[in-house]
Amino acid sequence: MSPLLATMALTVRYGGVVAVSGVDLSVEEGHIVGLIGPNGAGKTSFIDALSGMAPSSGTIRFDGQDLGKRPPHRRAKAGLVRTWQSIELFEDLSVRENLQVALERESAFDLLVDMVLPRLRRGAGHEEAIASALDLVGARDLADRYPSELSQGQRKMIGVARALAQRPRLVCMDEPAAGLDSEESRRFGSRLRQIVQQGISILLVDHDMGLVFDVCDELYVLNFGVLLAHGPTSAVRDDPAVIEAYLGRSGDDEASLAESPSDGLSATGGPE
Amino acid sequence: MTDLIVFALLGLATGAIAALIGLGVLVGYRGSGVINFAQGAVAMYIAYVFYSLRVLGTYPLPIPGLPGFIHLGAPNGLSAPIAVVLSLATAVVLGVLMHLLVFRPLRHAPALAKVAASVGIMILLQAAMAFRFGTNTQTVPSLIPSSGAFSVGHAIIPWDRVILTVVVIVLSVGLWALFRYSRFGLSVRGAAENEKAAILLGFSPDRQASLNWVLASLLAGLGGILVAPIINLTPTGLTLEIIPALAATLVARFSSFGVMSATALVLGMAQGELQNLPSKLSWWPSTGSDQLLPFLVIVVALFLVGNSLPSRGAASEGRLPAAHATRPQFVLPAVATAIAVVMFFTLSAGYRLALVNSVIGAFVCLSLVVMTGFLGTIALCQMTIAGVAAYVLAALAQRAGIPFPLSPLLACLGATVVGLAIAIPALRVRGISLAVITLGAGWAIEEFFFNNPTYTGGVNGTNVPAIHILGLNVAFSKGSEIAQPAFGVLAVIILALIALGVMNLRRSPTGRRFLAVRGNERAAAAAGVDVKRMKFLGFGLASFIAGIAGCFVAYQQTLVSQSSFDILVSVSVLAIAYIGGITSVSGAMIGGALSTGGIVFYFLLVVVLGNRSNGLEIEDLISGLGLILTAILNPEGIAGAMRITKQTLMRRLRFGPPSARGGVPVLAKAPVQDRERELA
Repeated sequence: MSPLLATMALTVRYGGVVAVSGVDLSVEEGHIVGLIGPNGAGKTSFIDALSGMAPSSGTIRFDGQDLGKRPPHRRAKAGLVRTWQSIELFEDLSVRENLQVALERESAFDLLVDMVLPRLRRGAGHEEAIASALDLVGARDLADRYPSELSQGQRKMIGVARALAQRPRLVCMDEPAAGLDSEESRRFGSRLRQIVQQGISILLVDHDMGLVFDVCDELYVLNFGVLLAHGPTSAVRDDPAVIEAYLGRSGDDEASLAESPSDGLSATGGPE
Repeated sequence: MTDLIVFALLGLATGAIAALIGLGVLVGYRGSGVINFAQGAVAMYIAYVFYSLRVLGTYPLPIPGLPGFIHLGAPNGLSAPIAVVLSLATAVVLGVLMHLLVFRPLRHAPALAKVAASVGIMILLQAAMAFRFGTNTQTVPSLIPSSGAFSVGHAIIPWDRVILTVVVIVLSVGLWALFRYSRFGLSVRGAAENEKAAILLGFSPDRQASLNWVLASLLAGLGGILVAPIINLTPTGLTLEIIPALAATLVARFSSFGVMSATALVLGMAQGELQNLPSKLSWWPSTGSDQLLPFLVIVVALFLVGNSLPSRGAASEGRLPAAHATRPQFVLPAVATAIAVVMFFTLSAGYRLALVNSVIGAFVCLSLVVMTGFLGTIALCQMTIAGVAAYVLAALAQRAGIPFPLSPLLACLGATVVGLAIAIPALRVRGISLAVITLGAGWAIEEFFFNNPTYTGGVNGTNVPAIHILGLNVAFSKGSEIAQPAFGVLAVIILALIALGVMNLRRSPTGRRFLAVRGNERAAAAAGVDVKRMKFLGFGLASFIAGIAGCFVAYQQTLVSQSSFDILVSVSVLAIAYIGGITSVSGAMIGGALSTGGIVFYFLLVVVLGNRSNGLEIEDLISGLGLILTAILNPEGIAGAMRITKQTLMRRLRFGPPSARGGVPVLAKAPVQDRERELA
């Protein structure tokens, strides 16, 4: 069976700078795949390219279709959705409305219908879908709040819930656990497993190595835009090249990423 | 060949004033990140001060109620050096005032508030001088000799053009050196890049910003004094020179003094050539092609620079005023409609006319609620779009004889098409740059189409036949009796329907999508929203509603004339919509009441102040001032202030003091303010 997502030679250039260079990456249905690397390795650029927010070359095959040339919203509709590193909620809309925007579909003459009968297009099952997406991130009681009233962590979770409300096949999460404490991070890990059980695959970018090693089936390591290593989580964890890229020295026998402080990797090493 | 040179030189004067205004725009932008739309108005204001000093020997005071002029004991005018010094001193004061009273309080405000405030200054200065000096052209004695300097072929090149060009070049180089090498310039550039770091290094961005505004005003003032003798001095002429100036600053990407000045001078010369073309080529449009050029430059420059989606981290600007969903309301709109209908059948003609004007104003404000309040696009050409509908209606109803419901409908669709065309640049350009595009588009359409007699009947305008519904005459006036009740009732009913539709829209999926796009285009696209489609829908709907306003203006005037739709009317309409409340339907209704010739001003001017001849200028003064105050103190407008007051009252009545228990709506505001305070 072919993977849900497969990129071939995906490359992102900003002017003369090559942010991502020829990356082949695939995500199997029902897997959590981690994409890690030091700051500036090109992780966010990779997600930008997948979601159509950055111009890229190479191929993006998703669910049997070639998405490489489609505009961002069409990729989202195809089931490839993303969350953001900085929290990008719709500040003018309540949490519920934020999720509604993600759920509702456009149709011909929707403007006219909405001006005359605003409730006509209220989708069947939207309330349940919103409730279940909020449940998955443990934020059901926040539905009627506005983003400006929420804490940083809550806002991140609403961002994930909004992505889930789109009924995606694959969610690319850009540092969803940044800023969570270790207890929150553990709880978030178990939520990710629940999400996968609903038939949603995940591409996870994060610096929280505790979380990444805990939940990911497979890992890809980026460094300077180039794929440095790829394999099952346990194998990548002990790969000397990966340790060097992260810690900035050749791996002595004791050094293992698993023993590093869970959120300190970006601070302790990596080429600046 | 000689002609070519003559007309290029003719254009050089306008190119020079655009360059001097543009230099001021750039300096102000570097100092505080604000594009000041009032820069042309500053040049105009100082030019009038100079004129008054030099010719009348008086210093003009702009504030109504005070004596108009201070007599300086020189009935034949002051000497040139004293007049120049006093005029430029005025420019300094104006710069300091703009900084302290307007731009400093708005440092962290969203782009819309900054544009609104600078537009407010523009309206205010323009109205102040129109109030004192009227709108007639004044002749200003020149500081520099205009007599022939040297000749090329048969063309005589006057000295003033040469001197102006040299002044522009010297100032551009001087400013470049100032910002490149001086400690002042370096600290301004540093503060522009990172304000916090500059503060930590001991610079005061605030003092720098005020110095920049003083410098900007001086440049504009100097331009006004030098150029006013060459082009005719009117309150609007120099004010609108901001349009080519903005075109040039856009080409220079808001940074290079040299590129900006060169563009402005070349643009001016090209405009000079275009003014000559109609006499040479019979098929060339008789007017306006020279004013079309800056607009084309703006569009091309922005389209090349613009991005279809904002890049990472671009969304750091302050938020627009909140647009709250309301519960479905039927009682209040029904009561309001009924009251308006009763008023039409009971009031005298003067009030009825004011009411018709208010209803028309409310349509325009509603279109701005969709465009700016929901979609987040700052539009400065709404009356132009209304004008397109008016002229299409005239053509369809009068020349083609298409009957009532069909002809205005087609006219509104015509306006929609123009609106959609303006939406194309909006796909790649946003914020202040888009405001510049809409300003340029409005000006270009006005000069190119509305003023062209071939298309519109010129000054004489085009007739529009009266409305007939089922054989019933629903004309605006019958005989000498104007503002017929039937006409008013028709307008009110259509307004009520459209208002209900816009209210519904805010609670619907499409309305949520508009607000998602307004809040964050990238995130909206990632959430599956087709951003382009939403922009086309928003522009299309807003233009259709503006078109309705245009049709009613046409039916009211029976003779469509360009003056109702000129670009400054568009600009003041935005002011009024913003004061009323740009994010809500109730705000649009308040805006309607406040609009030109509307019910509020009728009451104020006719009943309170007793009919005065310069009522229009007083209206402009009030709305300019109101716009600045709204932008600074109360971004949600009167409607927002009323909503908040109502909530506070309700809570007090229900729960006692507000500190005891905070309701959600108040919480929704408080953290935002806190965040802004942290930033400040």
